[in-house]
Amino acid sequence: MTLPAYLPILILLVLSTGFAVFSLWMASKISPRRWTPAKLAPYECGITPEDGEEVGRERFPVKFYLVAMLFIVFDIETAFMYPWAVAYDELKLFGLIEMGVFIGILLAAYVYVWKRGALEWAE
Amino acid sequence: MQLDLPNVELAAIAPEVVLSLTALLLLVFDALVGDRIKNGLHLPVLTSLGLIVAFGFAFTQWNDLDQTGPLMQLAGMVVLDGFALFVKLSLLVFGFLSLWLSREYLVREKLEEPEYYALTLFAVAGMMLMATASDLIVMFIALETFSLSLYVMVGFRRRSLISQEAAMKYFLLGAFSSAFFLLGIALVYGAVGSTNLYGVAGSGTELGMAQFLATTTPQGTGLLVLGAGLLIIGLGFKVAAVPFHMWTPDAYQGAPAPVTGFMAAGSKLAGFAALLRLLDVSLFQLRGDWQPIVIGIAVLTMIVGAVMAVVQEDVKRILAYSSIAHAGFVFTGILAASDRGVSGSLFYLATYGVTVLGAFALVAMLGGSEERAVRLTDYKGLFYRRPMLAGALSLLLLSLAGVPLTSGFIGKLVVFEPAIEAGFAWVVIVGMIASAIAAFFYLRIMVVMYMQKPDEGVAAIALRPVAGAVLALSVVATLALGVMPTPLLDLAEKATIFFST
Repeated sequence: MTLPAYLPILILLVLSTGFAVFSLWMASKISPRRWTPAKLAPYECGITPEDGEEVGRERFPVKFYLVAMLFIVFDIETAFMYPWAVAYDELKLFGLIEMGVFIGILLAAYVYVWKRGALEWAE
Repeated sequence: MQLDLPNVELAAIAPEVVLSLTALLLLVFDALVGDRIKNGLHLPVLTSLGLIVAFGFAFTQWNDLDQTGPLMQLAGMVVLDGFALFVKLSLLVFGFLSLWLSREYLVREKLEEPEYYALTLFAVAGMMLMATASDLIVMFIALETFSLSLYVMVGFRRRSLISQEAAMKYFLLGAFSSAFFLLGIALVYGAVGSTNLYGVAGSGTELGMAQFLATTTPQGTGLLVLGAGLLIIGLGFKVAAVPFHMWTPDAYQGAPAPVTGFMAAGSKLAGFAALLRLLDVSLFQLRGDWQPIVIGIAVLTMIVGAVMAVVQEDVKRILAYSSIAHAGFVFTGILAASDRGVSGSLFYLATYGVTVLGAFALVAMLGGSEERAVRLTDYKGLFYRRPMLAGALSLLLLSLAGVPLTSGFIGKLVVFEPAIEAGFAWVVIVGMIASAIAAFFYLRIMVVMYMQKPDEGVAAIALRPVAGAVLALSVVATLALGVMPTPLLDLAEKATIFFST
């Protein structure tokens, strides 16, 4: 390992940093600024914010996070089942047992989540 | 299309599988019928059962080792050798001790939940996998398994702000260190063309780190050295080595005291097991490159840990810095890169774990409700209030200081000696200076306990029989292994049987 061997990496580092800085600087110099209300509004998915409504500042229950998290866990389960279904013939009994283990673990998680009351909205 | 189905030899990781299944069973069982059981004794009992069955499996594998020799299993992902099994058995003992010591604390603080026990089981399983992994990817999964469990356990005192803060800091820095570890894996893969520590026999095309080093020229190892450095950083975080120790005092202080003990014992043993296998076995040929790094880490860790502990006023923080210093001593054993260094390090970690579990259990008991009494001034005149507990704590502290006739002394002996043999005498001298500094703050706690009168109206400390028995076990083990270390040293000797290609 000699230092000249790393020279191309250094050159690349300098070039890429230089390009980024140069682009930002040029854009700030020559780009036209014509602001419209739509351009100034915060970017959000879904419903357009109404006048007077403070989007993103209202409080909402932390339970949404829990539901979202649980959703992802069981969503991934389904995502794993598709490749298994496609390769079902080749995987034979091996695939069946492996999926059985996988679904069994998630089933245990489901029973736990349900019985511990994580799916109850009102408390 | 014809798929090549792997041969899954789950028997190789039977102890880990048993622990994970017990944890799942425990969660489901408690969710279904937990309300009907009043005293909640089913939780520790079920957990103990899992640990005992896992111990049985690991012990059988340990005995079979004489016939079968070291094995590589699960398509080269894990190895079963003396080293892995010694670490596994030690971890199961730690888990068992920690479990019953934690229970008293959890009941007292009204924190007893099935999740705590399940997380303990998952953590032990992850730590065990760490020692047995022969592929960096498996090692990473193991690292995350026990780290994620510990993040939650550190924050288990949900209503305590300091516990939440500790969990947050530990989580953020832990995630940060995982990134280093992953980049290290990527660089190793770039250099070697495989993430395996050894190389899978018979596959022909797939080299491992050890095989790669045996066949390559010194000029071709640059990327591997870089990758190994990042792996050392990632694991250095987990074992609390300086300069990656910043999270340790805060996490150790904020975590429930039994969890702190479990972290100090288990997380260190698992992290060092990975480091020992990585550096002293896979990268043995490369020791000229990693030894300077390890010297730097060892010297810094010993000195910073010992010096910083002197100025602390909180007993948990003192023990946190002391655990940093102890990590430094183990690094001298790694530095030796010899069989005796490995067995010495393992002996050190096993005895340190038993001692530190007892010490933190005592801190938990003496801390009282919500761990209010953990400052040094709260230990004033402890001898006059509870002579037995003060005596037990003194003995554990003397062992941590490395006083003869305790396991700590033998531990230091067996890590320092191989380092001198390997020609690192000056590192050992630094270690001895650090030990001398460290003796000061251990004695400081004892002076406060014996030579100052207790304040009036201090709350009485209740000691439950089960926790008392486990604590006595820890104290007796600390003393017995100091007087008669030979049996455990012989076992650690067998633990130097490594898998090799």
